[in-house]
Amino acid sequence: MKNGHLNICLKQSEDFLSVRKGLRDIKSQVLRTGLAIQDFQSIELVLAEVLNNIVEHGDIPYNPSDVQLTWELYDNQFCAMIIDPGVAYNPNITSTLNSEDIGSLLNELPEGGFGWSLVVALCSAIKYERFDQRNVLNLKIPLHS
Amino acid sequence: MHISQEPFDETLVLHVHGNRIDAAEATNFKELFRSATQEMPHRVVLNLKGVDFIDSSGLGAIVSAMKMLGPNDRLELCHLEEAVQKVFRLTRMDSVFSIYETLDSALKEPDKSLM
Repeated sequence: MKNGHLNICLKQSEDFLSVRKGLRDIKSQVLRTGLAIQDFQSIELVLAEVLNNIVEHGDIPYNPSDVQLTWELYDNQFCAMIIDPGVAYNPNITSTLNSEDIGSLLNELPEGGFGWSLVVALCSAIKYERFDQRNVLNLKIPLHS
Repeated sequence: MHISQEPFDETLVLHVHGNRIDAAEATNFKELFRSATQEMPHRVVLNLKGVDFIDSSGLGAIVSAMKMLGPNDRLELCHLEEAVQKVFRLTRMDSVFSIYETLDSALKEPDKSLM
């Protein structure tokens, strides 16, 4: 079987430790398919950025709440659907890293804003929908990239 | 995670002990770095050997650490694992930091970074 599902239970605001645990569980699931650990690097980074964004900015009703992650390895791609109950967001899927974003002076260097740019750089397709008061994000991550 | 210190002449080497600098660890990393650099060294080499995952929050924490130093002081990096190198490359931060393949090269050949 080269697909799987995981519920990541968020217990409190900025629950990054639950994200970390979720990433560990997904890694365990995906590596059981025989995928090389090097191929999981991009997957882990993309999922970390998406999930941390939800935890940090989603304004999620913690009672607790689940983020649902469904994945499939298909045609040399990792396909994921991530559903969360947070506020709507703009995935800004045209975001790219421009050299002008990096200041020339030390105090101009950005300390944030890299997350979605990394997602965009590593994904071949990103589709965002708002459905039934939930965010539904579909991603495709090419392997061997 | 913890950070240990090792002075070499004018350089302070900070060894990161822990395999992740992620969103859960970023604030702790910044506090550890601030505490380790209270004497305001002019050159700090951050040894990332064994850190096999960094996300954008971890990257932001390292940028923040660089800003904690004086305007003429330097934060340089060594021993980046493959996944960590990738984050620096994709964000173009490899053009901001001097990055060395090993700690030895950082100590022997300052300013001759390999990335």
